[in-house]
Amino acid sequence: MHDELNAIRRLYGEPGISDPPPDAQAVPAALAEMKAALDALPPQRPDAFVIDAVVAAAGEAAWAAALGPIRQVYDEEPEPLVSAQAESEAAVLAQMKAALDRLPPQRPDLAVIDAVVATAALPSRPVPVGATAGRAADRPARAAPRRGVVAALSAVFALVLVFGGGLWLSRDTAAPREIASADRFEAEKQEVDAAPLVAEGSAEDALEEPASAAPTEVTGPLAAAAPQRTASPAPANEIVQNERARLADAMAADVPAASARRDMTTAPAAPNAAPNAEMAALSADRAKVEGATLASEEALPLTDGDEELQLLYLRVREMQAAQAGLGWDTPLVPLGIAPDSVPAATGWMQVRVQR
Amino acid sequence: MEHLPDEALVAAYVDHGDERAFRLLVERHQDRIYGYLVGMVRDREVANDLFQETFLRAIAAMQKRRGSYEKQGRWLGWVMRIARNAALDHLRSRKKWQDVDSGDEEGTSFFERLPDEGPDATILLDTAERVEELRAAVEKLPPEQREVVLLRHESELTFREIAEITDVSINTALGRMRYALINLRKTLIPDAAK
Repeated sequence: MHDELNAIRRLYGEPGISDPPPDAQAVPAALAEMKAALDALPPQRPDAFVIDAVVAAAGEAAWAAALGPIRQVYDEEPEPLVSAQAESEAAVLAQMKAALDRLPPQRPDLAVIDAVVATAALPSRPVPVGATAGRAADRPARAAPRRGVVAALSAVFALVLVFGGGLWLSRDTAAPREIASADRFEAEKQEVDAAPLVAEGSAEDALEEPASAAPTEVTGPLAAAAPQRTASPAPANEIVQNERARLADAMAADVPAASARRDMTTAPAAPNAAPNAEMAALSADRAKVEGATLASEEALPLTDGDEELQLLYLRVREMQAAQAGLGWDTPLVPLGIAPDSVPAATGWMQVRVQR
Repeated sequence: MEHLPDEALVAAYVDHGDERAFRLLVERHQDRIYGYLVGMVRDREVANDLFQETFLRAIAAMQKRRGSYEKQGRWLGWVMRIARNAALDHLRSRKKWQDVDSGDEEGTSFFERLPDEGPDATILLDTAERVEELRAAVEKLPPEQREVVLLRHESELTFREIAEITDVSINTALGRMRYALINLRKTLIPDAAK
């Protein structure tokens, strides 16, 4: 036991070490290893808030001790003063207190007292406006607005102002861009319209008609075709395509007056436009689609300036019509794609290609 | 009637409209209320106006027209809170009052101590000149210290009442008084500050 304690003493550098026996060398090695492992343990510290609480408690204790003299002078739960310095301070504070106590009182003017008492004798007399402004008279005093809060609110207001102004300016500059885009689109459209395509003009004129003036004679055939679509979607596509072509021709013949109005709007561009066979073919195809869809649905409240939107809308409606009879177990088939058109893209781009 | 406590006079006025009771209340506490007001605003005319406004508010509250007086038992403390609100409203309207966080001791080191010396006989207010010097010294105190001095020495409130009215702890009120006395002494005895 004595040798083991010597090993511990040696390990920790404590005095009182005697010569170790020859066979006791292994014990210090093991102890040294354990001591090194213990030394390697990371230190554990209390949370920061614990430190803060301890420091605060120390501060309060120091404060309470420093308040000893003033407590004694004003007889506010005094405790015995423990130092000569505290006693000296209490004496000085007591002298200052005595000086303040000897100050003569100050009184309001007698007229003020009379006015107050007169007011008290008139219960119905209203309190001057602004005296309390609807607040409890004995409310706790309001806290003055903090400068930091005021500065933060000012910064937020400035940011809102900057962003608002930016949005307003961007809105003002975006409008001319939209107008320019519309003009460019109109010019392109006029080039296409310049070709002698009666069917396209007729179809677009039909779009300009009010909803109540939508052709009624074409709803019959499509209505007759509807049961077939619900029974078998694939044959319905063929029927729709046939009906489109037939109805487009019929509409071109049936609405000469509308076509004339349209010719008036497009006439200035006609002499300058060169015939384009490809564009004419695309326009004819589009006229078929528009005519057929318009015949089966209500008229669209759109104008020439929204032609691309019209085409997208018509495309969606056509796809919806073709999907009407599909069930969950119906095999997936391409929707609304003309057999002779192979789209280079899908969705909105597909519509553009079909034009 | 002069010996009736405040609450009895308040009841006589509120319940029976006894004007004389109210006059007694005003005259009994005029020094406390006016002394605080004139010390805060440092202007007798303004203090007169605030004194009147304080009682107008108090009358309205006591007659249930506005406010919350419920005969709490400390009429003077209640009126002093009204007076303080009136004074602070006035000072804030002239940007002469800046609230400070509780515990902020106006830039004075908390452990600042008085010089290790005894009382000085020159502080004795043996002349009118010394009285005015002391009043001027009180006026120069930081607002929070000045307010505690006024509430304690002019209004004769306890430190508990001062703490309630000013929304601070008793220790904070005591600490402010301690610094106020130290600063007053430094002002009246310049050598003491060295």
